[in-house]
Parts: sequence; C-alpha cells; structure tokens
Amino acid sequence: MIQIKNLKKSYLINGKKTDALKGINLRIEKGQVFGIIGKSGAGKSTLLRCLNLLETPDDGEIIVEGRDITKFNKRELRDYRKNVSMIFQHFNLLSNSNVYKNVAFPLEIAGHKKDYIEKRVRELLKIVGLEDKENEYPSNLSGGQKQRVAIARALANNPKILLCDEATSALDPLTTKQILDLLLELNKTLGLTIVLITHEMDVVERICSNVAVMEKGEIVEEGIKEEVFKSPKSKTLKQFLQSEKGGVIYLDFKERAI
Amino acid sequence: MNEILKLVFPSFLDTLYMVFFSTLFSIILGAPLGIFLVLTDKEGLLKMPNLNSIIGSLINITRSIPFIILIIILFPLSRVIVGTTIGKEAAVVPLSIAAAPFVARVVESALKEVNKGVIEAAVSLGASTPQIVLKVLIKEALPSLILGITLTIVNIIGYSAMAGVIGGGGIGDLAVRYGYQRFRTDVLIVTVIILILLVEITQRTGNYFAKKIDRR
Ligand SMILES: Nc1ncnc2c1ncn2[C@@H]1O[C@H](COP(=O)(O)OP(=O)(O)OP(=O)(O)O)[C@@H](O)[C@H]1O
Ligand SMILES: [Mg+2]
Repeated sequence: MIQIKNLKKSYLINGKKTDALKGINLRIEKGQVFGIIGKSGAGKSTLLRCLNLLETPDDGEIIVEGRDITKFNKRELRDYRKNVSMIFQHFNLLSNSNVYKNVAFPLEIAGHKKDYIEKRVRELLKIVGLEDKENEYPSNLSGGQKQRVAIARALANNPKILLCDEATSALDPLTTKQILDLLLELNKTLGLTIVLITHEMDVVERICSNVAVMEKGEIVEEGIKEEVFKSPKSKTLKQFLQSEKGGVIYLDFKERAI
Repeated sequence: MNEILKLVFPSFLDTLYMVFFSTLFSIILGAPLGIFLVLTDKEGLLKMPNLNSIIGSLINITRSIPFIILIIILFPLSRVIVGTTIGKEAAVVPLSIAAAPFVARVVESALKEVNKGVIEAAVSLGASTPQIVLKVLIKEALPSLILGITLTIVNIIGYSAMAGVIGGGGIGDLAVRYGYQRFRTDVLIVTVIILILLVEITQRTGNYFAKKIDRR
C-alpha cells in the first residue's frame, strides 16, 4: 500500500546540513498497524510527515497505491490528503469552534452538503463516543476527549490511512489505553491502515502488528512485531525492551531533552 | 444648553460618519495586506520573503509619517476621489489611507498568534490556502482581530478630530471654529467630553465582544 524508496531529507541548522532521513526503505501493507519507534531526534516525525508531504523530501519516492505522491501537483496533493489523515500529540483542534464544527471542518472543505455533513458528524461522534459533547468547546474537554474529537475529524472523509504522531504521549495511561483500543477497533472495523510513531513501548506492544526501529535517520530493524521483539538486534530496541522489563524508562536524559 | 446641543449634534453625526467609513475602508485596504504579510512570511503558507519585505517596508514608511502631515499630503487625493477637499467626505480619504497600514499590522499580528499546529492540521486535511485563511486563521484569531479593530477605531476617532482642524468637518472642526476661534469654552468642553465618551464606549464594546467569543 505504501512503499518508501530511498527517502532522504536534510535540514539546515545554523547553516550546517543535518541529515534527518538517510535513505529510508520501507513497505507498509494495507490493514497493518505499523509502529515506528526510536529515540528523540531519530527522524520519526520527519518520516511520518513525509507521508502526507507536510515535509517535502529531498530525494526518493513514496508510492501510495501505485502513485508517487512526491510528484503530485497542488490539487492532487489536496485530494490525496483527504485520503490520508493525521492525528497529533497536542490534538490541534480549532479552539474557537465547538466539537461539531471541528468534526465538520474536513467535510466542509471537501465541499459536502449541509445535510450530509450533519449526518456524518453525528455518525462520527458516535464512533468515538462523544455524542453528548457536540456543543462543547475544546477547552472544556479532557485530553482523551480532545483526541477523540481529533480522531473523528481525521476519519470524516473516510481515509484509508491514519498517521499518528505521538498521539497518546500527552495522555495518562488509562486514557492512552482507551484511545489505543479505539484505534485498534477502527483498524479492525474500517480496515484502516495505521502508521504510528511513539517512544512508548507500551503503545507498540498493545496495538502494532509491525514495527520499525529508527536510529539517526535510518531504519535499523523492521518486521512483524513478535519476531522483531523476540530477537532484537539494534541497541535502541534492546534498551527499549530492557527498560520495559525493569519497569523504568531510562532513555538518556540528554537525548530526550533535545 | 439647548443651543450647544444644536451646535454639537450635527458635528457629532459627522464624526460618526467619518469614523464609520474610515474604519470600513481602512479594513478593506488593510486587512488583505495583513493576510498577505502572514501568508508570504518565510514561515507562512506561500513563502515569498522578498515581496514580504517590500510590502513590510512600504507599510513602515507610511506608518512613520506623522498623521497630520499625511493628511496634508493626501487631501489633494480627496479631490480626485470625492471631488472636494473639505468636509466629512473629504476627510474619509486620508483617514482610511492613514489607518490602513495600521490595520495591516494589527491583522498580521493577530493572525500570527494562531497555533501553528492547528494550521498544520488543516493542511493535513487537504484544506486550500483560501480555506485556511477563512476557516482557520480568521476564525481562530477573531478575538484578537476584534480588539485590533477596536484599537483602530479609537485611533481613527482621534485622527478624525485632527482632520477636523484642517477642514475635515465633525467634532474637531467644531472645536476649532467655536471653542478656539470664538472662545466658546463651553463648546470646547462638550466636544472633549463627547470624544472621551466615544472612545470609552468603543473600547468597552470591543472588549465585551472579544471576550464573549473567545473560547480558548
Ligand atoms: N523543521 C525542522 N528544522 C530543522 N531541523 C529539523 C526540523 N524538524 C526536524 N529537524 C531535525 O531532524 C532530526 C529528526 O527530527 P524528528 O523530529 O524527525 O525526530 P523524532 O524522532 O520525531 O524525535 P522526537 O521523538 O523528539 O519527536 C533532528 O535532528 C531534528 O533536529
Ligand atoms: Mg517527533
């Protein structure tokens, strides 16, 4: 479904070229819940944001359903983005719009009729369990509820792929579990392909079918979750699994602070 | 008292006329400029830094000319546009043009406050630039925009009184003709009180609405 070939991206930081992605190759199949893990600065967000071209890659191809999205013109890109949604760590809801309006936003920009929008918004709010909140404003919602609104908004135009950038990192463990359950349910019922990045092993354990590990702009190992976890090869994954077992997260503070 | 009212009331209406139309036209001229500045910024959606700095400089130049001089420069333009250089209609031209760069900056700074993540979310949902301007930037920034427009109106009230001094009509004109030239201190005091009230009411109304619609 998604095939990434030799994807490269670098940034100029203080006039110095820094490689964020050093030639990534990856295949993500339809219906997978694909987790990408790695330490801070490994390039996870950059990679994910290339998948809807929020970042423009310097080189390489991203083939989605047979078409190279890096070659899209503006119009094609906007249409493509309606098929590939994204949710964020900090939810990014419209703060001056209520829940209903937030969920209606992607439907309005897609040019749907009012009747359809109304029907669809109600449907979506039901899916995420917020039927009774349509008139609330985001500032009156809990983190978990905000992420549910964001998920409803992301699903509005029936996307085939959902990209999640640390979608549960701002949530407490119980809420995280509920959101993950919801994502898994959407994966099962709608056949939604999910690509998520995280530095919480728990998230991967819970819902991913496949996993890729990133270090310094490269994918160091990749495959079906159970297999990869059984015999970890990379330093990063060994550390992650270790900290899981010991119950302590010991990501170097320096690295996390960056 | 009755006599003062008879004198002041028409001038008061003239002032309202000048303030209303000058605000309207300064928004029509200035708001698109402000939006343009935000979009063409190096971190904006359209990224045209050169054009951005040219427009930015033009706005700065206009804003650094003292208002009273700007009116003198611009009054001839009134003859071209409204056919006269005296009265309330004539004053609207320089007032609008003088306030437009201010509006542009007010709009620019209000829109720049909008959370980058929210804009990014809209982009990721396939929104076009005009859709983002209307449904995200303006909507999210509405409370700040209302406060900025309120500030603009308050400025225009002050400017309109100045414009009156050099032939613009309204309260300022009355203050000069009666209060100053005919030593009518009572008229002068009434005009000052009216200006104070006008500013006060404008500011309070603006604050009220900005607060009411702010859901952040
Ligand atoms: N907009 C940007 N401008 C400059 N450098 C950037 C930008 N975005 C990312 N980088 C750099 O690219 C590298 C990868 O960053 P990225 O955000 O993809 O890491 P990450 O794995 O998502 O980290 P985190 O877990 O902290 O979110 C880092 O060195 C970062 O400094
Ligand atoms: Mg990141």
